[in-house]
Amino acid sequence: MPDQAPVDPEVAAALLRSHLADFFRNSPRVRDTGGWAYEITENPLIAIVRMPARTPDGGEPDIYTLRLDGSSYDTWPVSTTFIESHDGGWRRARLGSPAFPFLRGSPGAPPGDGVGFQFALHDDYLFPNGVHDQLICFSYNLGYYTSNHAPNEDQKWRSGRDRVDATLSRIHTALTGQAYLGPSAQASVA
Amino acid sequence: MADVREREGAENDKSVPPGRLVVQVYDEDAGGPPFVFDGGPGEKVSKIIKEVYGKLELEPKPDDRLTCLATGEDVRQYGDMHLRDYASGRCRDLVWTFVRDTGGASA
Repeated sequence: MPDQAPVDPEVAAALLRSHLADFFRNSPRVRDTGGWAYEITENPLIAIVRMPARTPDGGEPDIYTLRLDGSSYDTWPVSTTFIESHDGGWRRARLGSPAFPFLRGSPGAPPGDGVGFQFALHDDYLFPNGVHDQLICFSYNLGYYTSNHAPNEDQKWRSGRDRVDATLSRIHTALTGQAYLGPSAQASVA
Repeated sequence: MADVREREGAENDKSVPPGRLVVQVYDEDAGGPPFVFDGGPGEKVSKIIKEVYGKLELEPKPDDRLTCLATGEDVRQYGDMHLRDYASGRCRDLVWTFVRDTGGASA
């Protein structure tokens, strides 16, 4: 990641809290669809967001849980991960779990048209520092930069202007489009 | 000519003249309340689009996504339509979202 200047954690936490509240107050996605929720954890740099997905059969929407890490916010976007509950806490969701969405065109999912813009969900990605982790690969997620992807000027996160809205709205677009096939636990059986 | 009003409190503004159509545009990169535009029924959609970019202080780019929220359809393809026809057939509630291009892995 270029120029990883340290971010004042108090400032980052305040921005994360303020911008998340604004997103939930203003976004038409939240207004139009049930199932959205968020909380700031005991660590003020970490937020948990619940996000509804498209309902392929018209029933209740699938709800996914995302962990947002604002340690570098808003110099950089939040670090975003699909998670699932485990032993009273949270852990990274894995391919094959109900907490991990199946998105056509992403690794491990059926091939075909993706979500309509450059975006991929990797269950297990090898980062340059040798760590394996989930990667939601798009330029409004911190992992895109720490995995040494290079956006052009029009795609790059704009510090001080872009907000967590940019991250959440794109993930929600992915989960509500035709590329969304359901939770990977069900979709891989089907 | 399309009229643009500021974002703060725009949703509650009751001053839209009769017969004009209201378009709400959410900048989903920068967040915040929507920009609100109103235009006559015979106004071209392209006129509103031009006003949107002016308000965003951006030049249009091919990979921007200006979409009708309800349908997910690209707005810019309907630039030649009159606002009345667009609202009656393509995007009834006239709520649009805007985001810039996105970098990432292609499928």
